[in-house]
Parts: sequence; C-alpha cells; structure tokens
Amino acid sequence: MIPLHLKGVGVSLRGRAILRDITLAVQPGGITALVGPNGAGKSTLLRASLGLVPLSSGEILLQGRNLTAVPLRERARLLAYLAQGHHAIWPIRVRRLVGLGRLPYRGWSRRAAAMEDALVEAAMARCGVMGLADRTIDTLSGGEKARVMLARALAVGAEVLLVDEPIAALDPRHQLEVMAQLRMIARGGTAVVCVLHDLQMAARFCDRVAVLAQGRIVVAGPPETALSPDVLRPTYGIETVKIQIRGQQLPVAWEVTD
Amino acid sequence: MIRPVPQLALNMALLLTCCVLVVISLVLGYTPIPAGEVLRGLAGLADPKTVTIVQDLRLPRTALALLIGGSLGLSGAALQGLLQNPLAEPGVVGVSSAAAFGAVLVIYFGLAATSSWTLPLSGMAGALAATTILWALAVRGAARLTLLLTGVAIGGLSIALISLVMNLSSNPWAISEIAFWLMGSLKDRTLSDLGLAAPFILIGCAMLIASGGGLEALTLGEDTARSLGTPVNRVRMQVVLGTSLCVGAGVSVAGAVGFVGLIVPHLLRAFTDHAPARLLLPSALGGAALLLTADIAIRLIAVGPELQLGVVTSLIGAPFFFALIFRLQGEQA
Repeated sequence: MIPLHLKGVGVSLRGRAILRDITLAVQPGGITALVGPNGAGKSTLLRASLGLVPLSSGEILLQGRNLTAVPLRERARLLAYLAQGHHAIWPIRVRRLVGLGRLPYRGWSRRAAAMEDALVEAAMARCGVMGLADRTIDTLSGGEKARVMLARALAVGAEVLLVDEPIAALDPRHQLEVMAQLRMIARGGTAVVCVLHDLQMAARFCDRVAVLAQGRIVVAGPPETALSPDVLRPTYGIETVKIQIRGQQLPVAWEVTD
Repeated sequence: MIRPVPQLALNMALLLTCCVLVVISLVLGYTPIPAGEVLRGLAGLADPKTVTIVQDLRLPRTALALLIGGSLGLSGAALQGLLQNPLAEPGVVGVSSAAAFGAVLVIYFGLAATSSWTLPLSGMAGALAATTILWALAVRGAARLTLLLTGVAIGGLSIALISLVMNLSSNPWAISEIAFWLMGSLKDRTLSDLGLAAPFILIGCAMLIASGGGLEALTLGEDTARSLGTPVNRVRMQVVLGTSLCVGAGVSVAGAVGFVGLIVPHLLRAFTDHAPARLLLPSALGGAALLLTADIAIRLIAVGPELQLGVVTSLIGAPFFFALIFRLQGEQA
C-alpha cells in the first residue's frame, strides 16, 4: 500500500493558490526529494501532507485512508515531521528532546516506560548522538543539533518521515552525514520526503525527485530525468551542466538564463 | 550548573516545606496559642475562643496563601510555557491588573453587596479579557517580545482605568478600600472568602496541570507539536482559561499579589531539566511555599502597621525581574 498518496491536492491561503493539482505517490523504502525555487510551495506541500493546512481541492490518503478521517494521535504515529531550523525554546537535555518523539504514544500507564526509553536510545544511537544524551540542546553545535532533531523525528517510528530543508545551514560534512542518515532511514522501509535546495544532494541521495514550480509539480521521476537541464531551465531560469562522477550524473548550476 | 533532580524528590521536598510553613502560619498570631492547642482547635476540640481564632482567622488566611500562592506559581509556569518566554507571569503580562480592574468596577458600583459571586466573577472576566488578547496575538504568530509588550500595555491600561475609577469616585471610603485592596493582603479573610475562591482556583489549577504534555510538545514549535498529535488550540485554551480562573479568583479575594509566578518557576526550572510539563507541579508547590513565607514574614516584621502582602512580594520580585532581564540579555549577546 502506498503510505502517503496526494491526489489532485490544491491549497489556497488568503485567496491565493499556493498548490494546484498536486498528485504524488510517496513510495516506502526511498527518499523523495521536493525541489523547486523559493516560494514554489514545497514547505506548504509538507504542511498539507501533515494536515496542518486545509485543502481547497483533492485529497490526501494516509495508508489508503483519507487524512482528515485519521484521528490526530494515530496520524502522529504514522507521519513524522522534521521542521526547518531546529529550534528548541527551552534548553532541555538531548535525551528528553528525543523522547518528545514518543509523545504520540505517551499514555497514563507507566508500565511501558522501559520499552519507551529503549526506543528513544535506539533512535539516538542510529543518529550517533548517544554521546550527547545528557547535554542540553543550547550547548550543541549546528551539526549536532541537526542530528539530535533527526533522532527526535526518528523516535516517532513513523511510516512516513517529512523533512523540511534538513541541510540548509550545515557544513559539507554534516550535510553528508544527515543525507546518509536519511538514506539509512529510508532503506529501513520508511518513506522519506525531503525538501532540498541542493540539486546535487538530491541527485546523489534521493530515489525520486519531484520538481515544483508555482505550486505545480513540473516533473516527478528518477533524478536523471527530473533534474535534466531541460527541466531545470524553465523552473529556475538557470542553465545547468551535467557532470559525471563515479558513474553518477550530477547537475551543476552554471549560469542564469534570461 | 544545577543538575535536574528526580521529580518525586523535588515535589516531596516542596510539599514538606509547605507542610512546615502551614503549621508555622497556623501557630503564629497575636494571641499565643501552643501548637497542640492549634491542632485541637482545628478539630474543634479546644475551648471556643481558640476554635474561633484558629478556624475563622488563621485557617482561611493560611489556606488562601496556599491556594493563591500555588495557583500563581502554576499560572506563571504555564504562561511561560505557552508564550515561550521566561519573563511571562500573570502580573507582568497584565492579567492580574486586568482582574483587579474587573473587581474594582464591582467595588465602585457597589455591586459587591448584591451577591458574593459578583466580585470573583468580575475579576475572572477581567483576567479572561487580558489573557484572550495575549492568546489571540500568539495565534497570529506574534514574536515573543511583542507578546510581552502587549501584556505590559494591558497592565498599563488596566492600572490607568483603575486610577480613573478612583478619580471619579466621590466616596473617600471606597477609594481607600480600593487602594488597600490593590496592595494585596490575606489579613482578615474569612472562610466564605475561601469558599468563594477555592472552587475556581482548583478548577483552574486542574486545567493548567492538564496542559503539561501540550506545553512540552510546544517546545519544538507549533507545527512540530501538531505533528506529534498535540491539539495546540485546545492546549492554548486550557492555559488561557486556567490562568483566568486562578488569577481572577485569587485577585478578587486577596488583591494584586505580584511576581510569585515569575520568581518560582525561574528558581525551579533548572531542577526540572527546563521541561515545561515537569515544572508545573513544583511551581505550584513552590508558589504556595513562597506566599506562605511572605505572609508569615509580614506577621513577624513589627513595623507600625502590618505590611501588605502584595507590597512585599513586589519588593522581592521586581529586583528579581531586573536580574532576569539582565541575564537574558547576556545570553543573547
């Protein structure tokens, strides 16, 4: 079953159409990249998929069920979201922050506490932040914070992970780390949807790329076709060149077209 | 750096402190009564004079200090969690002043005599109006500083309106009653005052405690909180209503008692790992302990007329507020 299926989704905010007729089937076990110029509607697409903004048309199916019919708590167990910016307001410790990912499962019973702790630790271990468990979030570097936030989203154990620009403010090493972690999460069977600005990262790490422009999906397909110069030229207004490295084709933004 | 301590240990320690303070508060008074007699007086077993003193004078005062202090500490912690600002507090964000204005109107128009419920109800209406304005701004995504400044403006307006009422009042007795009442005090409160305020305060406290999980999720921002299944709007409503009930009812019985909700959560935050939900119960217990301590101190300090409770908490709280601002400034620099 397709874990997340958008069918003809439209979103309007204050009378302005932000998304139009978006159809996208997100497959498990892979990363789907959402790329496109600023203001194309990428973040809105993620927020709509979470049920955070009302649809003006179309429907979103979560495991075959209409998203609006799925109760909040169950929705929270199936869909995990990693917001842009990684901010935490209070300087809480990493272990507690990652533990917030288990909120959709928190109940009155304390019986399952040990199992919950184990799941939180597993998420921290997978993101390599066990060593930071007792540090407070305000003392971490940008890269550490990004990994901790990813661990928080991973702790939900959801079928679908929606990630908004996870590598925007990171140095190259941390970018590679986060992308590799997302790929590992996807290989574990999760359907990962990831908003990216870095076309090369999209080409290297993602299985599918959906290119958005002005609220519509221009192309959705494997990176080689979706990130071809002919698609990127009208979308971004740039000329790209393809380079071949170790058997992989990567687009390089070259110059602005007029 | 302060290490977080186990939640149970912290709560038990605070509870124990409260118990000790309750005993001191009951034993302390103009008429010296031994502790044993006080206990018998509570149970109604001592001589009638002692029973009257303990049950009608000391018990309401002590219980109100416990309830109002606790609810103020709790409201402070919850408001800070909701507005995501360690400087938020019912007094600072104008909720107490708005509640005071609501109550002052009732005193001015002489409505307090019509029914004993008018005063607390009007106080709560004032508090609700202020909290709703803050909430509406928070929903529209106002910055943390904007919210705080709005609160300051609400407080300023409320105080101006209270002054206007006093200005227009031709009855000097009403003016002095309003002025005294604004200073905040627990002196000479009766069991019926307690009975009037307690139900609202307890319901308010229950709502605030129940908002804990939601406040915890809001640490990660609103969208993420929603994605974790938190009904964000319901949590906001809970905090707004809970604070209004607590502060409105408290202010109408004891007048304006400021800064408890600022001092207590701040002192306890580091012990609770900065987690908004874990801060709630300790803040309630700590608030109760602080207000009891202040009320006991007032009775011990013999300087002419008895000091007013609200004056004392503000004298302690305002420098604390300054210190907090300076520290936050340092962190941002």
